[in-house]
Amino acid sequence: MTDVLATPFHGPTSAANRCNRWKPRNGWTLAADYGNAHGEAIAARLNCTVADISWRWRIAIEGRRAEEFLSRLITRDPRKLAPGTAFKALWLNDHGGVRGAGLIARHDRESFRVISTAADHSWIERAAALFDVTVRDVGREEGGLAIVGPYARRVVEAAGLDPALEPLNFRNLFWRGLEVSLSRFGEHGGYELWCKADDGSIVWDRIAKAGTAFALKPAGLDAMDILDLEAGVPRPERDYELARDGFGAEPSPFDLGLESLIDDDQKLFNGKAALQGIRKTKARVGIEFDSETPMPHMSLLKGTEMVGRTWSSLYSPSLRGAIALAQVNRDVAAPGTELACGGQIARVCALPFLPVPDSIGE
Amino acid sequence: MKGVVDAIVIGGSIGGLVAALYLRRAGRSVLLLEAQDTLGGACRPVPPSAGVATLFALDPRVIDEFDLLNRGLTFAVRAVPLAIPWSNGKALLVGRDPHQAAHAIAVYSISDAQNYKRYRRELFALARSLRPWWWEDAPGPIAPRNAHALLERLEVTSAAAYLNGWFESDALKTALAFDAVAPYEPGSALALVWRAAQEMCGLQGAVAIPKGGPAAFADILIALAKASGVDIRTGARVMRLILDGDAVQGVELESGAKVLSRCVLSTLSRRATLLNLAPTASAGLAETQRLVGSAPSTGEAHITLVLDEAPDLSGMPANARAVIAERLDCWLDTESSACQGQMPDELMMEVVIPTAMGPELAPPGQHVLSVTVFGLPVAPEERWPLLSARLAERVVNTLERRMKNLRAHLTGIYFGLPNESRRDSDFSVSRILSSYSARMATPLKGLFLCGSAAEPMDAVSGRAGRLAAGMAQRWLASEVSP
Repeated sequence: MTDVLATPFHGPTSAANRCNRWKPRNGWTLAADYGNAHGEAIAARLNCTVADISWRWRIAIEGRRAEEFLSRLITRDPRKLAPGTAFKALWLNDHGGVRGAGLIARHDRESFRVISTAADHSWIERAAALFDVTVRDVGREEGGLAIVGPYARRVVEAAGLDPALEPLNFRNLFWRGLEVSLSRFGEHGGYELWCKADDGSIVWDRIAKAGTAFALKPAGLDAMDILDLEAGVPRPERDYELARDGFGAEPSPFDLGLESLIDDDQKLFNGKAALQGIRKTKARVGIEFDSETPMPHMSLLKGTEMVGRTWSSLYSPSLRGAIALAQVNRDVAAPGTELACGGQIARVCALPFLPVPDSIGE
Repeated sequence: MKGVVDAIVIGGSIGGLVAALYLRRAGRSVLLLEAQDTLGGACRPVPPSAGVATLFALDPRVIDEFDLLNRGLTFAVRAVPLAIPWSNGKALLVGRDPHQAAHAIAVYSISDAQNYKRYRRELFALARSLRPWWWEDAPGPIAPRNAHALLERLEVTSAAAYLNGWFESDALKTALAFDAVAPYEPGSALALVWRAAQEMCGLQGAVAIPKGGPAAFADILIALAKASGVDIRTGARVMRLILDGDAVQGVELESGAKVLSRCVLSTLSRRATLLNLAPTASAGLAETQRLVGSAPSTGEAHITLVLDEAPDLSGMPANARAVIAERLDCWLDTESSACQGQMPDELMMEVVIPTAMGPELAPPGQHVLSVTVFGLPVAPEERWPLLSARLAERVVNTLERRMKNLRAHLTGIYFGLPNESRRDSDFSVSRILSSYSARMATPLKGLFLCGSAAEPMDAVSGRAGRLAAGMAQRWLASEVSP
């Protein structure tokens, strides 16, 4: 049986979670919403919200050959990463199937962090053993909060942290007695604040206090999922199944629309040779519906021919309509193409559905 | 060396020599690098070293296409009979003629004598129908309709079970099981079929001895390679492959010298090539883990005993190959002890007296006894050089039960110890069932395997060398010249 763990912010989030609605994710218990998921999603676009992101799978990769190992493992060149910076990358199995997608951050010369929404511990640990590199799960040692919204910068500033940070950068800070790390990794703008597990309550309280002037609201998992979908971010296990076999060729990065995470000049990474033989047949697109929200994983038809399948679908409160991510054949991937889904019209549109709101004060 | 050669061959064993010869014949420049000072691999002269004494799997097309019979290759014995010497001074002799063999077997069991002919007929018929697949680079087994059911059955049958189904005499089963190498492994019955699919001197499933021993055969290939312009360097150990992305660009030698080439053929096993020579995990992370986890646990040792008197093994004919094993199920103990890194209680040995068939193999007055010990641990708890003295002691003890005063006449011992770098794993059905291209190709572009590890079974064959050279030639032809 998998563990059901409380995140470092469980105390303050359970106080805020008046409706007592919880959801498990990656083994952690998290607030599904704090009363109104749609309201929280809109707040994240117009104002600012704080969300517990401690459920993300985080590992530290350390060792003399850590850089060499990562350059073999992931689809981009870690040698290009300076300490304090990060990029998004994929890792593939031997036959080019996507095993994982995540953020690779460099702490120093021999130490990296990988943050991903889906765990892939045994693959990375066994591969790291070939390079004498250690892999340590830091999920239980550290917690993370995402501060999302146009006013996120103001909240961070009000909390006494220096918000001057480029996207995909992070900085380790000493914050009034606490060791924290401030980063800008997220797809929705804003900041992430990582802290030691024991400091969770203090960090939450400080952010909550600093956010009072900006009407900072906690946002639950459901609201964050709405933001993810509006940003067009596919999530493994929810939208697509990862390759769980070392030798399977499905899903290919092209079919998931993640080819932008592959560096052409990265000479030798795992699965590269196989990628050259993979045909690019599918594309990731957004779908807008005029009527009600369909079930996830529905067939998309062009005439009577099946041309794709939706992934997750939900009602977007910001767009006031049903939207879905979908995987369709490349010939019907042009925005504006009308398809049929469960008897209603499904219109292909470009991703993301909504841009990241401008940060106020930048 | 300045410039880029077309092909580098790592290892001067028979597979490497054959591959180099074929590539040279196709007009390619070839550099052959051998770590040892002598070429020939397992076919080294006995004495002063130890290696194979008989050949059973040579590709007749290699002999034909290089006209080796007119270049001095002759066979001292075309079909060496199988003998089982007993400690009571008698021996069972299973020769090539099925009637005579049945006659000899009838002393032990009438039904076995009757079944032996049928057994051989079934085995040889299936072997003939599978020969195209084991001789060519065919995608999968091609068998006539009526043989399919048998083939499917043998894929999951151990040689021991298959022989148990045919015979009742343990002596006969034990002797025949030697051809399967690991007779208790599932699918090892196919190893018997593979042996029967070989052809030596035009005889199906025969074991032959070239005049002058296998080393003479190697010498002919070496002379031919030198004459045809293969650049041969001995004492040149390859330390690593030079890669550009996933394409092989050349090799770096122990001396630090770098040689660039358009493709590389390795006679080493897939494990040794990809784990030791290529950069870490360049074969793919999952594949590398698979290779790390599939280390062979059992191997065979070659021991050459030099005597000052002609050996007489329980009255067996001097031109036979004698197999020494107490019972069929000794194989089971042997395999399980070797897996645990232990020396087995019973030694499974094959003994040949090369000097009885070619006195020129040793100086006058000296005689050579060539012993192959099967089922030894590759990585024993005590290291091999330490254990070899104990192994020799036990081999001599076992032989002495059948040969009086062996110790008194012993003047020298040479060892060829179990070698991990020539094998990929213990017996596996998938290896014997996969195609040549699957065994020869690697995840690295321009790197091919041509040694005995690329064969369906470990053997001195040259077939993988011949096919790998064709594969490399196609690669060179398709590649745009830099």
